[in-house]
Formats: sequence, C-alpha cells, structure tokens
Amino acid sequence: METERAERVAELVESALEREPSEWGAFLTESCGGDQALRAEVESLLRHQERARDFIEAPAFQMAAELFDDSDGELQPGQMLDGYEIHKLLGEGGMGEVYLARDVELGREVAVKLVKRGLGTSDVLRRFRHEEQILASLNHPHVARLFGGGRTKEGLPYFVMEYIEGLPIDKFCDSRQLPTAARLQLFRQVCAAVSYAHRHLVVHRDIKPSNILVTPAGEPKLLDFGIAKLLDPLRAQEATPRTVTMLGVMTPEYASPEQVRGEPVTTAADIYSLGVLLYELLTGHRPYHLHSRRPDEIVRVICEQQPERPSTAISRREEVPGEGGAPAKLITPESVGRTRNEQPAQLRRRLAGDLDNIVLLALRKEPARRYATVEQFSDDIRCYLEGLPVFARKATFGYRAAKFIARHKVGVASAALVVLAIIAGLTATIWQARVARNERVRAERRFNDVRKLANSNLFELHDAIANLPGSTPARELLVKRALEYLDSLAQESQGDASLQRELVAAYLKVGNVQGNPNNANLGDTAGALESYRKALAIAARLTASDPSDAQTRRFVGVISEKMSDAQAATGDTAGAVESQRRSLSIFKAIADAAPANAEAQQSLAISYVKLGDVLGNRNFNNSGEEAGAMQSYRSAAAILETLYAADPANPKTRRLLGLIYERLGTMLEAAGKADEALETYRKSRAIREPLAADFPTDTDAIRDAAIAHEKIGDALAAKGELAEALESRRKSLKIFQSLVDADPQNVQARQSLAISYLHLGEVLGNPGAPNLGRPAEALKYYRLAWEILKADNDPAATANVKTRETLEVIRQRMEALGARP
Amino acid sequence: MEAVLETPSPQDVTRILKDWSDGDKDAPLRLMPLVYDELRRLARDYLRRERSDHTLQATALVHEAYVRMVGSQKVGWQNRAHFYGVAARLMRSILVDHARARAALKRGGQAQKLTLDEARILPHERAADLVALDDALKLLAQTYPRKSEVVELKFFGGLEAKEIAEVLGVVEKTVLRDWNFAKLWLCRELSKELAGGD
Repeated sequence: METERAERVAELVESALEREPSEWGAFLTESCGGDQALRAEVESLLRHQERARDFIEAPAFQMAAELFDDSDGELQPGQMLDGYEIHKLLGEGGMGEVYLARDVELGREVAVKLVKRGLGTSDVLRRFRHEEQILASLNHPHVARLFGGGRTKEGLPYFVMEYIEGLPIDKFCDSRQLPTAARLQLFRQVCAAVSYAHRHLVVHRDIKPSNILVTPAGEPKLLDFGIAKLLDPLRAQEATPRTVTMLGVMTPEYASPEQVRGEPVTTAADIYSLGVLLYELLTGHRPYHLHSRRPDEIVRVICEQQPERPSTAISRREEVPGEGGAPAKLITPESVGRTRNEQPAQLRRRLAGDLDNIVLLALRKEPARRYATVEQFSDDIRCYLEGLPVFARKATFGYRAAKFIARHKVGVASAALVVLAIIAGLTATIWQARVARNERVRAERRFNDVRKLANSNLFELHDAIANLPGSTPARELLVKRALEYLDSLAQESQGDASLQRELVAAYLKVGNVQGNPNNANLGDTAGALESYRKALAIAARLTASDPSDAQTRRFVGVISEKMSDAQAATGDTAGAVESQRRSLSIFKAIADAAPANAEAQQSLAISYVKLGDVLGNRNFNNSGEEAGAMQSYRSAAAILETLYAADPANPKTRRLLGLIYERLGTMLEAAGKADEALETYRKSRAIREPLAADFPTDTDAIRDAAIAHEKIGDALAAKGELAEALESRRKSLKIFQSLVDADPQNVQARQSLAISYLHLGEVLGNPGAPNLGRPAEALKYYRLAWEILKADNDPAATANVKTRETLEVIRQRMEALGARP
Repeated sequence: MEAVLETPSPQDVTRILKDWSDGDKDAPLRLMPLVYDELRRLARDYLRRERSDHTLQATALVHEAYVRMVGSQKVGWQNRAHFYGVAARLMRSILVDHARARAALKRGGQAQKLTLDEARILPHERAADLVALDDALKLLAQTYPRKSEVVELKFFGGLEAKEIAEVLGVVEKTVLRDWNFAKLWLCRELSKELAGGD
C-alpha cells in the first residue's frame, strides 16, 4: 500500500516533469482526481524544480576536491618536527601552511608555520638565525611570541609561534558591534604593541586584520612580527623589480607606497598600514579599490590616488568579494552603522573632522609627512577621545595648501588636460542632448559598465575562479554574457568614439580569456579570434576617422599580436604572419618616433622575435620561411645588444637578450650548424644563469635558465656528444621539476617537465637516432612524459594541437621500443 | 615520481569479478579493499593534477580505476557493471567519511585564523552539505531504493546515464526519470532540514 502510493507519486512527478510547468495544473487535476493528499504530495515535490535544476549535477568528486586537498598538507598529524608534534593542519595561505602542534617538552600548544615550496629560498633560515634573538626577545602582552624556527627534512623552513585562539580584529569588532570609541581603544592597544616592537628595532611590515587576533577576553595579539622581512626575497637588491615580487607575497591593500615601490621600509610603513587598518575599523571600507592585481595598477593607485575621507567613505555602497570563495558581501551605510551600533548619519558626524584628519595623516604618501611615531599616532587618538585638540588638524591645513600648489606647478600639462576634458564634455553633452533623458541615463550606465568590464571585472573574476575546481562552466558563462552584452552595445555605439575605444579594450580582454595561448584561458581559440576580429574592426574604424589616436593605434598592434598567437596555435600560419607583420609595423612606428625610449625599443624587439617565430622557427607552428625568420631575429638581436650595451642592468633587456640568443641558436641548429648553435646557446646561458640567480623567485627567469640547459643539450646531442647532452638534460630536468613542485597546478610548468622527460628519453634510447643505448630508462621517461601530457590534453580544445602531436611522438617512440603507452 | 604503488594485478580483480558472477557471495567483500585503495590513490592523484582546467576529467576517475585494475582482460558487461557499482559505493563512503571528519573539525572550536595571508576558508560548509546529502540519500533509499542507487552511481560514481542503465539493468529513460525525481525529493528533504534544523 505504502509502496504503491510512493510509486504513484513518483510516476506523477516524473510525468509532470516531461510537461511544461504551465500544463501541470490541468495534468494533476486530471490524474489525481479527488485525491487531494496525493496532489499535495506531488506539488510539494514539484515546487523544488527550480532549485533542483543544477543540484548535484556536478559530480561529488568536484565538490569534495577541496576536502581532499586540504587534508593533504606537507606534514602529517602525529609527525614529529624537532621537539614539536604536529596535530592538524589549521589552514593554508599564500605563504604556506599553518599547523597546530604541541611542544612535547613544555607541553604547550604552538602554531607551526611552514613556508611554501618555492618561497622558501635557501636564505630564509639564514636570515632567521640572524634575527632570531631579536624576534624571540620581543616580550609584550599584545605580541604573539616567536619560539623558534627550523627546517624540515625536505628542507622547508618553518617558524614556531605562540598559538592564539581568536578572531581577526575587524571581525571581532563587527561581531561584538563595538562602537567607535571602543574600536579606538582597542586600536590603541595594537599601537602599543607596534610601538614596543619599534623600540626594539623591529618593523612588522605586514600589518593587516588577519595578523591581529583578538582573544575572547578582548586582548589583541599581533602575529608574525618580522616574518615579512625574512620572507622578502629580494631585500638586498635594487629597487625596481622588487615591487612585483613583494606583491606576490603581501596583501597590497595594506602596503605603503614605499613598499609597493620597493623602497626601503622603516617604521613609517607600519604607521601607514595602521592607518589603513584604522580606516577600515572606522568605516568598514578600505581606502583604495584595487580593481586588478596588476603591479603597475597597484602602484598607481597606492602611490597616487588620494583616499576618500572616512566620513565620506561610510556613505559608499560597495560590494566586496568574499574571502576564500565566499559570496560577495554588500557594504552599505546601514550595515556599517549596524556593526557600530549607530545610525549612519550620526556616525558620519562622529568621523568628520578630527578622526578624518587623524586617519589621513597616517595615510600620507610621503613617509616623512606621516605621524613621526606610532606613539604620536596613538596619542592623537587619546586626545580625540578626551576632547582635546588633535595634532592632525594643524598638520592637515598646511599639507593641503602645499599639495595644491605642487599640483598646479605642472601648469602646461594640466591646461592641456582641462582643454581635453572640456572638449570631451562638450561632445558628450551635444550627444546626450539628442537622446531622451532616460535614454541618457541608460547610456551612461552602459558606458560605465563596459568600462568596468574592460578595465578589470571580467579578468579579475575569471582569474579569481580559474583555479577553482569545477569553474570552467562558470567561466564560460561569464564570457558568454560579456560577449552578448558587448555585441549589443557595439551595434549602438556608432558615432561614440569613447565608447568604441572601451569596446576595443573589452573585446581584447574577452578574447584573451577565451583563448590567448599565453594566458589562463578557456581553450576556445576560435572564439578568441572572433573577439579579436571584432576589436580590430572597431579599432580600424576609430583610427581611420582619427589618425592621431595613438592609444587606439597601439591597441591595433597589441590585438594583431594576440591574433597572430591564436592563429598560429590553430595552424593558420599564413594568417599569423600577416597579423604579426601588421603588429610589427605599428610597434616600429612607435619605436622610430622615440629612439631613446628603452621600452618602445624592447617592444619592437619582441615584435621581431614573434615575427621570426611564425615565419620559420621549427619550435612553433610556422610558415616555413627560415631565411625570413633568421633576418627578423637578427633585427631583434641588434636592437637588444644596443640596449644591453647602454644599460646592462635592465632586467627586461637581459631577459630578451637571453631569449633571442636561444632563438638564433634554434635556427642555426635547424640549419645543421651545430657548432655555431652550441656557441649561441652558451651565450644565452651566460645571460640567463646570472639573471635567474639575481631573481631567485622569478619563475620565468628560472624557467629560461632551464631552457638554456635544455638547448645546449639539443646542440650537444646533434653533435653526437651524448654523455654531455645527458648531463645538460639532467640539469634542466631538475629545474623544471622544482618549478612543478613549487606550483603543481601550473599547466605550463607541467608541460615543460613533460618535454624535458621526453628529451631525456631521446638521449637515453630513442631507437631512431644516435643514443646511449639505455632503452629501459628511456622508456621510463617516455612514460612519465606521456602521463603528464595525457592528463593535460583536452581533446575539445583546438589550441592543444601541439600537445597532441607531442603525444603522438611519444607513442611512436614507445612503440618502437616494443611498449605501449 | 619514483614511487610506483603496488596495484593489484588485473588477474586478481578479474578473478574476483568472475567469482561474483558465478554466485560467490563473498566476492564483493574481497573486491572492496582493492578498489578502495586504488580509488583513494587515484583521487589524490587527480586532485593534485586536475585542479586547474580539467575538472571534467575527474568524472573519469572510476573508469580509470577500472582500466587500471581490470585492464583489457575479457570480462562480461555484468562484471564491469558490478565493478562500477562497487566503485560508486566506495566513492560515496570515501567522500562522505572525509566530509564527516571535516565537519567534525568545525565543531572542535574556533580554529585559529590564518595569519600568513588572507586565509582560504576551510570548507566546513561544503563538508556539512555532503554529509547532509548522504543522510538524505539513506532516507530516500527506504522508499525508493533504485532511485537512491541512481544518485549514488551518478553523483558519487560519476557514471553516465547509459552506464547506470547497464549497472541497474533498466533502460536509460528510467535512469533519467529516477534522477530527476530523486533530485526533487532530495531538495525537498534538505530544505526541510534547513527550515526545522538548528
């Protein structure tokens, strides 16, 4: 009876699902007859139809991916690390893993921080030993103790610190709904801890909410004093390239201008970061919006943009991305007021004036113009709390006046900008006057949308989710929506040059996300080409109507280059050559107009390299014009040698010079000139090895050095010097393996490793060529190469032609050795 | 890279599958530990390699386990179906056990917030989801055992409708109808829990 009933319910639900929802009513009336209970049961199930659509459609395996992943730390529970017994993995961050452990001797719980592979350059520990005494001597109730450090069996550095149970300060304040005054008191306790450390000559360098835990008793504890410095890998080196490296490790939102510029860091940097922290504690917002993680963008915003006053910022409505993949969070005046137990208007009045000035004084761009000490900062807050005049007010007026004058010194440039702005404004006004008011609002909104899309959103979102398991459908949807939107806008954009310019940029970005072989991409090369074509068509119209539009012209150069990459990847080499020639002609015009501009010259050299690649470099899909390729490479080499002679320290010039020697070597090798090739490869290695040594955390530089070894191995093998070739191969393999270990998710690193295995196999026992006669070992390496490539080969992606070809080569080799993959 | 784990030989697995078809009631018990180890190893391996773009291939896990363990040995389709059924059940228990452990961790108190960087939130919620789903699935099995099995094979085993039809000995259309119904039923069950739960 029971079962029959259940079967009937299922039968009805399943039949209903095969009909349109609009027909369900009639269907149920007919089939349930008067049985109201039956009908109610069926309807209660059908009600969940919307929710059920995507429910558990993705296999559990994907859902559980993270579960497996995070249990799989470097250290295992129960494992002993010197005198510490590992309990469990607490979590994982950009720098490494954190474990809960027990100090066996003292019987206390500690936190063990293990520095991630790759970041753990060999001198982290040496630096630590150097500073250990100072750091361990910091003994303050609000500073988490550092107990020691060491190295695991595998050579990874770790630090042992006091284990704190608590919430990050921002979450603590919000969860307790602390009003402004209580937040200020808590903040002053933090200041006391920082000030104590400064007196002991320790700068924190990475102050941010997640480094300040507040215990349930309300005691703040600062973590990781001095650790940032130990991990700052290029501390001893010159300024320029540090920015990028530093940004890889730090949270840029809290970094001071001098930090993002890679300049020397003093106690003033901590004062600045404390200013950012206070801003956030008071307003719920951060002072800056970093829309991308591009180093130049970050430097620009942090070094140039003036932060909004806190009292103004609280009126902002802002959507901030959730942490760790949590859904985005909307911050509104009401939500900020609620967590501070105050009406928004009241809060605004409270912040306006003194608190605005105090925060902004700490946030000044110039270190020397901030509070002189953390104590002074903290003392000014005390004055505010006690109703006394604050120092920041006096400081602010003079500062503003000086700023104003400084700004207007650059009269010529500003005047030009003003004129431009007026022209742009006029154009916009005339255009707007012709459309109805509603229409105009809509148009503006669209313009802003598309600008946002072009500047960051899409890219950021895409990159943010690209590494998440199961995100491919979401990324595809993202691109699809973006394209629908752009296509409809493009139709309406006639006559609106600025909108069209934004469209060009947006299509370019969409194209890159779809299928630029040099990016994290969706592998949709055909789609990418289509987007690039659209960008190019609009850009061509723009430059035709305004030949002085240099920005758009440069865009044509960039887009053509990307198109060429995509065309080459799909095997359309004639198209690739044509696109690359178009790109080169633009970069050449730019370089010729600015002969002293190193960047323009470098760009031109890159264009020559890329043209050479598609013309006749056998390592790329090419159109078989070896002589043309050689000529193009020589043009690039000439430019780069001139640049190198003028500035031998320029990292980019060095990198490109190493690259062009490699390319020239490849051509010589292909032409059968093994001796010359070997000599040229050695020139490349002579540039690349010291470059990698100078930038030990730059994976590109490291990879380049590996390729140099790899190439020398090629040339040696071609000359029949097999034992030496094997030696070079092993060197490069070791480097590629270390890159994969450092970043196991990196497809490019894995593919390089695979190729390296393949090459090792060739020297050891490729039956079709001179070899060392060690087929068993060769087979082992072929198999390793096969497994990597097989796993990464996505048969649906046309961009994977190369991978499939390589797989085929490996298959043939294995079969020739009497094995199968 | 060097360590190649011992994989039971295809003959072992094939023999057990044959015994099973011949009516040996203990065969599944002997098969399970072999398949379990293999699946666990593959799962980890996949997750290490597959994080970026290749999530879809993760559904091939069970197939890969099959190919590795049975290979090209000649076994009938019933044997293959047996294998898939076992594999899906094991995947369920591997994943859910794991999720239970993770969800328990959450109850163990306020974990220390990461300090080296903005923390990746530990996936307690997802773990809890998976555990709740497993519980709901057990309830579903009481009234609709076959539909529950369809979910197990598809969601936990990553099998296609066609393969599920083979395993269960029904037509593909039945599998799809079962699947659609089960999803509604589970959604309703889980939302009950939400409304009435803590």
